[in-house]
This record gives sequence, structure tokens and C-alpha cells, in this order.
Amino acid sequence: MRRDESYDGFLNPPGECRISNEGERVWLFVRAPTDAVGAIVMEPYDMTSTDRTYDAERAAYDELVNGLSFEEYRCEIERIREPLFVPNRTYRSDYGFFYDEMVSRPVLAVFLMGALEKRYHEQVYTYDDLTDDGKAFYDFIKTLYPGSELYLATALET
Amino acid sequence: MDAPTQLISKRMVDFPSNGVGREGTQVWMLAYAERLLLDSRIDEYIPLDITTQLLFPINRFIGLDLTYQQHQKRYTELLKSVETEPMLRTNYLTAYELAAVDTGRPYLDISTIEHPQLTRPLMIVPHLYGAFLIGIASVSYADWHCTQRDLTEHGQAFYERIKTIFPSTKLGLLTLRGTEPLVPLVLKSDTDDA
Repeated sequence: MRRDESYDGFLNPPGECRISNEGERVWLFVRAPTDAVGAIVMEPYDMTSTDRTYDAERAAYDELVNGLSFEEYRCEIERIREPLFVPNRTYRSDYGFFYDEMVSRPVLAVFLMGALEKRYHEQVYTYDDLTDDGKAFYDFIKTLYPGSELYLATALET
Repeated sequence: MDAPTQLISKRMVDFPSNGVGREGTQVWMLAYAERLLLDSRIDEYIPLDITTQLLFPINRFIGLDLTYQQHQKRYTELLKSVETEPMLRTNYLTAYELAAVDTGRPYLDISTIEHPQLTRPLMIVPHLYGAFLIGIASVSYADWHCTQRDLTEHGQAFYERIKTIFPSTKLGLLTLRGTEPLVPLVLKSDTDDA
């Protein structure tokens, strides 16, 4: 039974060993098959990556370590995330500046899959890191929104 | 229609049978982190950064089940006032919109965030564990907003499921005008600084 104070949700972190005291947040995004419907939400605060883009982002990071300029690296990350997240030109403060975050392309759903108070995962959460209930929920959402793409976004609480 | 209605494989919302317009309607199930809405319980432990928010222009708002009764009451009051105080209807908000703002807190509020292509103010739905588009129709309806009673068996089951995932979850059903995105997505290439 769920503890009242537990926000673990559907997460089943790999192993007992925690990486750091930064908390982890995992969000499910359901990317609409078209830009003609849905909601545009902010990218999770301090997002590491998503399950679908992590490998490419890791490769870009390796290139940065091996001499790619930071500007080129930033553009590469932008390009990799572009199917789901784009630079924010949609939400502007009343002082006239755009918040320095990325925003999603239209999504049909967004949902917190869990929040942990420690960081257990060195990389990002994937389907395999969900509990059985979490996998069942993910599978249900996938059938509920046919044609949509599901992303698991991992963010740190820093 | 229609492509938008085929986005959701299970019928979750029992829309009325008689549409009155072609504007379209959409229904979102909102999962609020209720503890964040209630100042009185703010000393309870809550992890940071566990919520998101929705934003939409105020003229798209039809109703939120959690506030609808107060909204309608306030709207009626405002309409009566307008008869004696015609200036009450400002060039900023209509009476319907003003009533929605007056009665929305803590579930929704007017936002200071702006959209570069929209002239109407945005409403913000704060403190959400998440939100799900559960119904979309190509027509609009007279005097209808979605309540729990309008959910199909699938919709009820989903409602009950979402309620149990996180502590202190409060669900709401948000009905909006139109089938298009809540706000237009603006790409860098659309702007001067691209």
C-alpha cells in the first residue's frame, strides 16, 4: 500500500547504491502525432535527458570532451531534443523576456512518474526502470494515445 | 472528424449529443498536488520540482468542475451588476472571464506569463502532477462543461487510477474551447532572433 509521504510512484531505481543526494524526478511525456493539438509545457527543471535521446546526447558530450566547442555542443543538444523540446519562444515574462528554458512541442499528456530524494541512476530512467505497475501504466498510456510517442524525461532536484 | 478525435483510443468523455457550433471542445483531466494548493498544510514534507503547469488563453476557458458552481454564481452577480454599472465590463476581461478569475484560486489563476502572438491574458493551472487530454470533439456545446458524471466507464476507471498514484492528489476536469493546442507553439525560426 502506498505510504502517504511516498512519491516513488512507478520508479524502481537500479540497485541500492545511491549516486548522490540530488533528488531524481521522472516525467512521462506523450508527444502528439501532430502539432495541431495538445498542450505546450516547460521542460522539467534541470532535466538530464530523456530515454529516447540519451545515447545521442551522450555521444555529443563525448565530442565536447574531445574538442567540440560549447556552442556547437549546445546546437547539437538542441537538434537531438528537437522532436520533443524546442527553445522557448512561446512563453514570455511580463517584462518581455523569454524564460531561459525549453518548452515541449504539443503533448497529449504529461505526468510525474515518480520523485526520489536521492539520485540512484547514473544515466536516465527507461521503461526497464519502472515497477511492474509503472510498466502497466506506461503500456496503458501507449495504447490510449495511438500514434503518439512516449518519452521518459529524467531531471535532478538540485 | 476527424483526426483529433482519433488521438485517444478509448472514449472517456460522454459528450452531449447535440453540438451547437463548430469551434470544438477539449477536456483535460488534471491531477493536482493538493498539498501545494493548501497553505494550511505547507509544513508537511513535499519534494521540490514535482509539479508542472498548463497555460491557455482566458478566452478558451469554459469551465473547471472544481470551481464551476462558484464561477456561475459570480458570473450571474457580475451580469446583474453590469445592468447598473456598465463600466464593469472592462476592455480587459469579459464578465465570464472575470468571474472565472475571481473564483478560480487555488486551482487556476490569471498568469503574468504572456504569449507573443496572443492578445488575451493566459490562465495558469498550477501544481500539477500531470494532465491528460481525455476528450476532444469537433463541435461546441451550449452550457456544457465536463464533470465526473460525464465520464464513461473507461473515463471513471482512469480517474480512479490517477487518484491513487501520488499522495494528496486532487483531480479536476477542465473544459476548453477549440481543438487546437492550448497556445500556439512559437519556433525560433518564427522569430526575428532566429
